[in-house]
Amino acid sequence: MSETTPGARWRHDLKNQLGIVLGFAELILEDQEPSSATRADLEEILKAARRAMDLVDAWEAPSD
Amino acid sequence: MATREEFERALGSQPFDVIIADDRLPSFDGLTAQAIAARLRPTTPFIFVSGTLGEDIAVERIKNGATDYVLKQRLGRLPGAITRAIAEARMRDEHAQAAGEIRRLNADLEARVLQRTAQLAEANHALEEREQALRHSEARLSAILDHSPAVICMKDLDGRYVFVNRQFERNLAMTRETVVGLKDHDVFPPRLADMYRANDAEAIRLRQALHFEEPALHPGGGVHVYNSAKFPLLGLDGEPYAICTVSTDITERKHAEDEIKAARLEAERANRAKSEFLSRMSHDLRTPLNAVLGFAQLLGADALTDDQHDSVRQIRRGGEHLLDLINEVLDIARIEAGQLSLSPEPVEVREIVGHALALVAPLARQRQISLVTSESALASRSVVADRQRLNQILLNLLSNAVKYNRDGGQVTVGVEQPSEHNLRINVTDTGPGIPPQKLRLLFRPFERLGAESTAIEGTGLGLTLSRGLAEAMGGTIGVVSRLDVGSTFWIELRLANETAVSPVPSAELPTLEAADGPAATVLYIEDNIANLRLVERVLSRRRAVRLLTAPDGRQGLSRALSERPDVVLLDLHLPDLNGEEVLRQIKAEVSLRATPVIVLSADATPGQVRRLLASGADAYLTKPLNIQEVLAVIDRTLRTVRAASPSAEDGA
Repeated sequence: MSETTPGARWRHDLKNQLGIVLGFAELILEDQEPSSATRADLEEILKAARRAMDLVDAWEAPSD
Repeated sequence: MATREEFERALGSQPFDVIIADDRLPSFDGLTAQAIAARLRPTTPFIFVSGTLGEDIAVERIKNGATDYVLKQRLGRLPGAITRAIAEARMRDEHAQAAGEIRRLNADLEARVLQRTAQLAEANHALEEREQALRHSEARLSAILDHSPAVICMKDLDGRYVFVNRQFERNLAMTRETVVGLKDHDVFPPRLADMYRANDAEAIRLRQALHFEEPALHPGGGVHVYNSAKFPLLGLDGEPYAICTVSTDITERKHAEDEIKAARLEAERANRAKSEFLSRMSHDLRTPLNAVLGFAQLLGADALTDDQHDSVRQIRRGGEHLLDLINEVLDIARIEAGQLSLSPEPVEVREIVGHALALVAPLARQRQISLVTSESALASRSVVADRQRLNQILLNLLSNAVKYNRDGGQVTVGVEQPSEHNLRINVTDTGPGIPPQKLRLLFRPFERLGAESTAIEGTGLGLTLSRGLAEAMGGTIGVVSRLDVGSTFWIELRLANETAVSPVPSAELPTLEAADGPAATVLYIEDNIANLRLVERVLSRRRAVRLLTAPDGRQGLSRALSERPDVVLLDLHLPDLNGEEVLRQIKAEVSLRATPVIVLSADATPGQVRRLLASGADAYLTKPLNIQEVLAVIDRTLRTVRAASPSAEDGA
């Protein structure tokens, strides 16, 4: 039942969207030259999105 | 008179004082005359006059009723006889009258005695009835008092119990006989007795009924709480002579109330904890999301394939959606805390509806949903609203109307004026409609009707937030829906008296193409590495700009003093000083006062923006940064700096 609580659903939505960001960023990254500026930007995006994902995962939602 | 007829006529026609008759008459005799007189005038004295009447006959006549007789030869006696006869007759008359009077009086007396007797009997009966009624009423009263579930008692002004009812006996385990005559202090613990007496005194003093909550100790039953109504009994003179108390046991109700209160507090606490949790989480997530969005903008300017550009668009959409998710939570938390700041102004309905429609048009087009507005109805009406927040609400209602519509359906925006001062904006869809039992859940957080099965993306917070925003603006929001026909969501706001001022269209933004521009030094005071990298990457498009960075406020200030940058970019959330303090110190330092400061912050409350601009900031840019805007503001600021001191360029 915990999956249907508002907090859980919110976390689910966040992770879902972060997954989209990570997925598409990795998709573009595959085709990049090792030291291109684009690769550097993509790596920043991936780093930030992973950090956001870690934050969402790390939080124990209080019972709601 | 000589004949019998004459005699009878005379007697019949008038009364006489005395009748004198000869005993021997030509046509009738004295005896007959006496008989006639006795018949017609029985009380008139009758005297015989005779010459021949012997003594014996005379006596006989007198026995028969004659009054007297006078012999002719002794006629001299006649006047005396007449006088005496008349006197005797008169006496007899008076006697008779007196006797009659006595009889009449007697009869009257008897009648009165009878009447009085009857009256007395009646009075007795009434008295009996009244006594019976009194007994009935007393029995009724004591039945009421004794059957009442309330504890009832009466005390005199000294505080002595005069009466206690059965419930009193039962609850306090004391009999009426023991209690009556005693005082509160004789039967209850001192603190309770003090309280009861103080409450009694108050009701007596004010001469009116008062309600008190009074605890009582039930032997064997613990502490009970009573709601006691106390009222003084007033005499005819208006002075109190006793105090009555009617007490209802509200112990259970109190417990229930306490439980409800505790539950409410707990729910509020949980809700607050949830809000706090969600807003803390949102704050923490904002930084990485701003980085995602910033770098995604940079990617958009890179040379990529169409597929890759499409992927970049997906990344940006994902990032924007994430930002919506957390901003909605933050807004709801602000609304709940009453900390949402708004800038109400007259907003033209046609303009703002048009703006929101333009934003949802691509989404509608994808599903062949037509967007219809009644232009004439929208014409030149303005409502009082915070422009940005009203836009947010309309966007939410419109995107819902598109999302939950059927393919090829229709979304209609119209207005109506439900009252003189209000305007209602209706957003009507041709979706499946919402069942009545689900309507009331709509505006609650995280409710998305059937969205689980239709994979419709959304935060589920949109309507909750819209309602909060509408109410914060003094408006209302609602929905009417018919299954299989569609739903109409509406927002109602106050009509504006003044006309709306159209927003100034934002200036043309530069492209992200690299440009040389003037040589300049920019100091960025920021602790977050992703943000530093982003700005570094953005400014790499201005080859002549040298970027210096400082990770906290103090280092920022010292670098500003030593390096004299042309522009300072300032983050507000710094680990040591807050950005506002850094700004204050820059503006207080003579050598730095003229240096433009551009604030970069994720907090964009109108109050904070105004405050910092008033404190000397030249621009306020909000995160996620719009890279074009960042470049435009930096370009503009640098141009202004050059214009103000043309020599600076030479010295650079």
